[in-house]
This record gives sequence, structure tokens and C-alpha cells, in this order.
Amino acid sequence: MLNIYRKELFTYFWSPIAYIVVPVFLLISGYFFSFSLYYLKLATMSNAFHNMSILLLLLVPVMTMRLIAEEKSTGTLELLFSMPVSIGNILLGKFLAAVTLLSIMLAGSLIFIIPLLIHAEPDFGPIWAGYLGIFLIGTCYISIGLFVSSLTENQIVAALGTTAILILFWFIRYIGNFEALQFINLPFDFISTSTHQGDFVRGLINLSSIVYLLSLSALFYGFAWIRLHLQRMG
Amino acid sequence: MLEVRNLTKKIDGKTIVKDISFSLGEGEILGFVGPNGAGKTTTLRMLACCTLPASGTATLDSFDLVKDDMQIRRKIGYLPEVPPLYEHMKVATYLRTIARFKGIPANRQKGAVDEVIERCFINKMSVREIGKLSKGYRQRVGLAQAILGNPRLLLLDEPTSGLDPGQISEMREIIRRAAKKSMVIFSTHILQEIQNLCHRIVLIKNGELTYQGKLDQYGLANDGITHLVLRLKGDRNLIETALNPDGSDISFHLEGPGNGTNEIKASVQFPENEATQTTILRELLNRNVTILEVSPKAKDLEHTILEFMRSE
Repeated sequence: MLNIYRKELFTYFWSPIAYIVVPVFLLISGYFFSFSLYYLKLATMSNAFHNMSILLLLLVPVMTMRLIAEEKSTGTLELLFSMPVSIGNILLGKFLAAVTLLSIMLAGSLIFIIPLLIHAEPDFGPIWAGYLGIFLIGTCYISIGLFVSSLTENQIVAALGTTAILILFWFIRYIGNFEALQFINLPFDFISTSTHQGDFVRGLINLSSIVYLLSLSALFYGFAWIRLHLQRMG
Repeated sequence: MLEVRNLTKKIDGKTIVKDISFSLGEGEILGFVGPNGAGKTTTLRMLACCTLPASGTATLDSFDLVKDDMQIRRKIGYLPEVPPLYEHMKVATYLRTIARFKGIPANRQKGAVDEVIERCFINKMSVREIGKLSKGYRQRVGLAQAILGNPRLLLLDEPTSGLDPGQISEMREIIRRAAKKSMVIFSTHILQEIQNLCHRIVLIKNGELTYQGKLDQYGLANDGITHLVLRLKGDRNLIETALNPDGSDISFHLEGPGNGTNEIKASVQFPENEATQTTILRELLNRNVTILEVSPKAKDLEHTILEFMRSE
């Protein structure tokens, strides 16, 4: 697993992906944070976390699109299948490499705390809770991206498919607002990732949110495992 | 020792490989021969653990292909038809990555990589990016990853396809050397390769094994026709009469003067039947023809295998 992780991390930093995704994430979230702090005079990270979550809806698919799709299109997935590495470890190595890139992005955003300290006395509770939330939501996104990438050889299809699912999970809470759809008796609020993100930003660390987000990650990781296993069954 | 028994693969309900059985011993090079779509690649993929068989077994040094797949994977090297390369890596980095994947201990990785770089003649390319290499070098890098760590079983799927004659010759040499340390199975439809490299062949068609054995016996075993070459001394007319008994299915061709003192060479073909052979020899002796030599002759290999590939 560690060898797959190393190879994936190498690929992120060899290719332009890391050099595009990390600066884009920091520049755009930094712009919105500065706007909120200096123009709206809101000395809080809550808007920044919200914007980061929206940005990740667009950036995580770019991070995950090649994870399996590229191995399929170049034939290197066959190579991995013939090596003494289990499917679970192949996926885990790739997942952890993407999580590492996500962590680098989030660690970079810690710099936003400095102007907060200069201009106000921030409450660190909601800040750390917000970081925990966005990290968990980011890992969910990665897991979903990993699964979608396992379905196709085409990286563009993988990116668009992932974006579509992530947007669905983000906005699904609003389905309950449509009268025509109220016959579907599902807890859309709970299913939606935006609901849990809102709780974390307010400083609420619900065990149910943590369990849900981890379960969602595990579920899509499991789907990706089944997909590759079925492929090997041929 | 590799033992394959009744290996079968179905895809979407269609049987792609049916009940294939063969074995492979130390130092042997086995050629998988057959037309496109015969099931060669699927069989190699099963042996490389890339896809699971529907039924049947294969054991490598008593490890089962399905139950002990992790042990099997440690013992094989696999080169698919399109070399599986990470284009963005340099050759040495790529091989180092594969060495890690193969579980070669860290203190032996560098030595193992240097060894295959040497064996595959890619020293000059070791710091080049794989994506910028020519087809021939890419193929060699693919082969280098397969032989890395000296696997017990080397599976090569059309390793020389698309290479120029010089590169083919080098690849053959690499494979020949690799066979000193590994059992080798390789699929091909290039006849020269079969003749130059293989100790034995397996002919596959429509997913079924139709022949396995030594290459030079294929022509003899295949078509139910006996081909004899006779060196004779005697009168040409008498020889012609002896080789042409009434109602026989014998065809023959004579070379040489046949004036009674000089040798004459007769190439004779007839349906496989011991009685016919005895009759011919008796007829010759009855006519006082001296039989200097009787030898069986294989049909021309290239012709025979081409016939096999083209036949329905």
C-alpha cells in the first residue's frame, strides 16, 4: 500500500495537478476570506469554510479523475493486478495520496488565521471544528471521485461524473423544499453534505455527522473495491 | 513446474478459453500460437492473475492460481501486448517503482534494477523519460519490468510485435537469456520466433487447445498423412510402378537419374496407414530396388502452421 501511495504522490507532484489545484484553492479561498474580513468586516472563518467546500466540489474531481481511469487507459491496472498488491491496498494507497494533497491544501489555508489574530480575538473552537468538517467532507469527495474514476477509462468523464455526484450530495437537502417531491420520504437534510458542513462551521461536532461522513467515504471506497474486483472477475 | 488443468474462461456467457491443459518445466520456452482472438491473451491474463478463470486450475510450484494468488504473483513476470508503462517516469525510477511493487527487499532493489537495465540493453536510456522513448525501447523497458527479480514464470504477450528486425533479434536474445532463470510462455504469430525460441508449442484456436508438443513433430502429428523420403537404387520405371499400386492414394515425386547405379530420391505421401507403407516397401523389394534409407519427413512447418491459422 505504501508503495502505491508513494507512486501516486510522486505522480501528483510530477504532473501539473498539484501545482494547479493547491494554488487555485488557496488563491480563491484567500480572496473570499479577505473580502469577508476587510470588506464585510466579519472576523470569522465560517464564510471561508463555506467557500472552501464549494471550491472542493470543483477541485476534488480534478484530483481524483486520473486515479484509476488513467491506469485503465494505459494498461497499467493489469500490471498492478499481476503484482503482489491487493485491490484494497491499491485503492487505499491512491485514496491516501489524494487525502495528503487535500491536507496540504487545508494546511496552506491555516495562514488565514494570522490576519484574524491581528484584527480580532477569534474563537478557536469553531475554527478547529470547521477544519475537521472540511477535512471529513473532502475525504468523502475523494472517495466518491475514486469510485467514479474506477468506472471509466476517460478522465474527463470521471471528472464530470464526480462533479455531478458531489453537487447532488451538496444540494440534495433542498429536494425536500419541492412540494412535488415531498412524497419521497428520505432524510435529505441528513444525507446532504452541506448540512454537516454547516454544523461543523458553527462549532458543532456531532458524532452522527462524523459517523455519517466516514460511512459515506467507506461506502464509495467499497463500491470502488467491488468495481475493480468485478473487473478482475472479468 | 507449472501445471495447467482444464482452464476455462467465460466472458458475458461466451466461452473464450475452454479446458486448456498443459505443463511447463524448468528452463522451457513454450510458444502460444494461434490466430487473433484464439484465446492466447486471455490464457496469459489468467496465469498472470489479471483475470480469474471460470473453472479449472493452475499450480506453480504447488501454489494454486486462485487460492494462493499472492504467492503466485510474487513468482511471475508479465508483459502484456501493450507495455504497461508510467509515461511520466524515468526508466530507472519506473523500474525502482516496480521493484517495490514486486516486494523486492529495499537493499536488493538497486542491484535488481541495474541487472535488468544491463540485460535489456537500456543503460543509455535509464535517465530518459519513458514517454519520450521509441517503440523498441518502450518494449524493452516493458520486458525489463517483467524479468525484474528473476520471476519463476515469465509471461510475454507478443513481445516482438511492431519491432524492426534488429530489435526483434535483440528481444529474442533477451528472452533466450531470461529462460535460463525462468520458465517462459510467450504468445506470438511470428513463425520465425516459434522456430528460433520455442522448445514446445501449444496451438490454440477458438479457445481450444488443438496441439501441444515439440515443434518439429507438429507436421507429422497433424494431418493424418504420412510423408516419407526414400533413398533408393534401381530402375526408375520399376520404382514408379512399385510406388503406384492399383487403387492406392499414393503421390510421389522422384529426383535423380534412376539408371540402376545412381541414387534416386523419392518423396512419397499417402494416408496414414501402416499397411500402405509395408506394401510400398515390399513392392520395391520385389522389383529388386535397393532401399538405402527410409525417413519420415515433417511437412514444411511454416506451411503447416499457416494452414492451421487459416483453417476454419
